[in-house]
Amino acid sequence: MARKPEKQSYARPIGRIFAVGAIGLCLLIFVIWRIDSPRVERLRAQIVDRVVPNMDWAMAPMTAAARMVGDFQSYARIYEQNRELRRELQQMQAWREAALQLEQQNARLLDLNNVRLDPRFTWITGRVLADSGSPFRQSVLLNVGARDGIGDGWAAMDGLGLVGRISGTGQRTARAILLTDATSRVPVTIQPSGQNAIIQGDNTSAPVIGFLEDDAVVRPGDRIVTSGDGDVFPSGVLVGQVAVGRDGLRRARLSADMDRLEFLRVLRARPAEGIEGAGRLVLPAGLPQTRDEVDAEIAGEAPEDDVDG
Amino acid sequence: MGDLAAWTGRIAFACVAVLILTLAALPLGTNPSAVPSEASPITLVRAVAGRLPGPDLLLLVALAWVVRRPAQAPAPLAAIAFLLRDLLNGGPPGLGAALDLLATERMRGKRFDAGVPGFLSEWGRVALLLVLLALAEQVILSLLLVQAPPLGPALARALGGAVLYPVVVAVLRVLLGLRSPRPEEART
Repeated sequence: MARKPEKQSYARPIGRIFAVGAIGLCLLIFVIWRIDSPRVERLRAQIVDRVVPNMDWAMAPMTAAARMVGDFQSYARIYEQNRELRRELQQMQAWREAALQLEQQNARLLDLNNVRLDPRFTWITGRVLADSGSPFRQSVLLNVGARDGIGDGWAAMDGLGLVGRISGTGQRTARAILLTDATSRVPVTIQPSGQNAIIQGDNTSAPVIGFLEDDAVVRPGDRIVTSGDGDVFPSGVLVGQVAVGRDGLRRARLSADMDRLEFLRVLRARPAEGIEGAGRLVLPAGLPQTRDEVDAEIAGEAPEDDVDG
Repeated sequence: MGDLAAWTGRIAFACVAVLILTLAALPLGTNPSAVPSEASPITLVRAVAGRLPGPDLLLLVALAWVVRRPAQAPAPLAAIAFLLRDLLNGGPPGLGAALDLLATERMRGKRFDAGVPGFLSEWGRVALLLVLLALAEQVILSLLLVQAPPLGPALARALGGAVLYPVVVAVLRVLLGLRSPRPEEART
């Protein structure tokens, strides 16, 4: 008991110093992040890269168990579901027939026209490791990273529709910002009318469709696909359907199953090859080829060698 | 400072922090709250429940811990947990950690009377701190021109945390035997 006061007298100031130091360090990290965010984001990617794959062995069974509970709840109405599915299956068979015929027709036409499809539609599939969002941020971590050739800004989709965009890659992990995140903006085209718009996430399950030129021609149920503007995403990836929210805003009902993100496809994006400048004149050899050479020739002094201006 | 009880306590705190971070990272709630389109009681309830962002369990546990066993949740350990949380979530790293550390340091080793009145004053203090933290984060982020989370849900989150605080305290007490220190063992 006699030790107590003495112990307090030095334990407390040391604790204080540690506390102030820790707070200062956190603030310093925040300030550095504000000033030089790419560097800190790289650090973040590296730390996540080290930490999350180690958590995976614990998380995989827990995730599986939670999903099984969710599935079990749906057994309650299995009979109804079964009937519904049969009905849908019948419809789908009709559609499948139509799709097959169209596909054959399409293939024939493409062949006739010698069309080259966009070579960018190849992908890498990754598993969703962790939901790395807070209540106000929506993002997931994938188990593929720079090691697998993933790059920043590539599009991520599930089997059906667009899910988000890669933002931040570590060696073994990559973060995908979902379309529902408040910072997500994706240029899209709304299909039958061809209107261009931007899908803006706002932390709800249905992002807002903004920057529509003409509201009147866009109807609920219209298809939304990426437009490929800005060279960030390949064009023509399905996003969802137009719906009108209760607040009267036009929103996108996403085609991707955002409740169950298990595997994501990351679409390989190569930087688009731009066409720079006007084409040159095709001239016989021996004549001046560039404008500078022509100017020089006119000025009376022929260039010695082929200097490209 | 280096006795056995304190170290087992620190390890327990670290384990709880890791557990909370792992649970928060499970890829289950990847869909944010639904926008209700048709009015039915079920969708309405689901919308309200889904609209309230879950409170920050890590902060609640840390607050309850530093009041009861100040030596078992030292600032550096709490700082690591908070920073890891900030890094795993996509947000601005460090600010939330610094604010949460300020809050835990304010509450560290605070003496409250035994019994219900003492707990009520502790609870009130925690609720006030949570709201102040949410406001401070808003102000700092908007001063530095970083996109801040929307004010309404952020405050709702703080209040939700305040509502949940007694539950956290009770769970810690039942599972880990973490009760308010008696006067004679105040500083362990």
